Amino acid sequence: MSEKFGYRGYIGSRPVRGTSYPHRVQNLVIRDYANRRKLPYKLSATEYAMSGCYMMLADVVTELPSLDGIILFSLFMLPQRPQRRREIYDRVLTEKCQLHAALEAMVLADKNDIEHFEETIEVAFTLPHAPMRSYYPKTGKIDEKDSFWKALNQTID
Amino acid sequence: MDFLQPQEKELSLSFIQKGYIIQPTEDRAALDRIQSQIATLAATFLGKEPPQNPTDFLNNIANSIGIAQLNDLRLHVISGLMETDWFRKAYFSCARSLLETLVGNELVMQRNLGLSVQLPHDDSSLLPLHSDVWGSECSPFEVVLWIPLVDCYRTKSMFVLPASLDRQWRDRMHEFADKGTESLFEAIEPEVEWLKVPYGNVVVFTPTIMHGNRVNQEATTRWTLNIRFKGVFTPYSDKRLGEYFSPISVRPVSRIGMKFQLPGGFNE
Repeated sequence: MSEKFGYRGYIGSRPVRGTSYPHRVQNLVIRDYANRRKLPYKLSATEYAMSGCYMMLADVVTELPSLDGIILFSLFMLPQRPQRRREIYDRVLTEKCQLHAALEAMVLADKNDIEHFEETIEVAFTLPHAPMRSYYPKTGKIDEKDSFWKALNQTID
Repeated sequence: MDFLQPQEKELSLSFIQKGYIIQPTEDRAALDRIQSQIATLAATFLGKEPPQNPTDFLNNIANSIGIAQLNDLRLHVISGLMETDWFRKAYFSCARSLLETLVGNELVMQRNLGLSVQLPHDDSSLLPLHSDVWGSECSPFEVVLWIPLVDCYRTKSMFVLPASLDRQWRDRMHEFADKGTESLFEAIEPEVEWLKVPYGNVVVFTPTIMHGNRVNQEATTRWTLNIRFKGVFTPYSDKRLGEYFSPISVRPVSRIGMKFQLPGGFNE
């Protein structure tokens, strides 16, 4: 069996929570994160652009026996389906690896960390359904038809 | 409709008028533990034993350190606090019910923290007049829990422009477009309030109001912490959930709602 070494980066070709990050920027964030934490970084795998496709992530998961872990550019690049995420957490922990999210500076190192990962993801996925889609725009106009904004405006001076 | 309790109404009205609330900490033991931890971290940085009297040690840190080392000390303390597993919970407990009254009971908390250490007469770490919402990716739905670790008063504290006045000056801000923020400060200076916050008290303020600090002209050093809170489901700006905030009190009904799925498999 090959020896474990290093953390494989994982970047994507789809927007993350509505924002597109150039591959170069994603790699910079991962490399900076790895340097700060003194994690040996291995060149990133790049996910395909097709919606719902996690083939490259599946490859990295297969590689786990020879890795110390994975560094995702962002937590929110994990699959949207909770069951799929659970399978990844299970594989990571079974292989005694760690799953890092560079942008959010979060680590899943044991099963107690799963709840923190999941709660953050679930809340983030719910935000588009919250008032004003949970975003306060500083440029452009606030949607004055937004029911929350209308109701709120009636209560302030 | 307003079903708030009389005490909540009073606090809310005061907060809307002034833009801040100062009150005694709700958990003195937690605050003392935080202060002691910070003094220990600072002492370690200086190669000293943990001090017997953290307040005196922090107040008089200028006897042991110069401006050149100040940022390294600050970063050392911040990093030590971030590695202290009880710190965030203890910080929240200092003002839990106040935050729940002003913001709500489903909260997110800033993942990092701000630490201000201002030596007497040091002009290297000033925060000029600003409102966080103008330029720092903040949402107006946030509040800051600001906690002093020593007595803070006059220039050893921060100034704020009370909310009722802030609204008037905000409307006139464009008049200073070519003059810069210093001239805006000079204009509002007679109306700003310097927060008098003895150790043992906390401040919650809305960062929408103008605030900042000046050179500390007092004899001792300012030490203050600041961490932001907001409602889990209220609008964020570019300080986002995950990178900047993390949920600390998601309630069971939200948990159920977030996981809920209607039965599927029906065909038209």
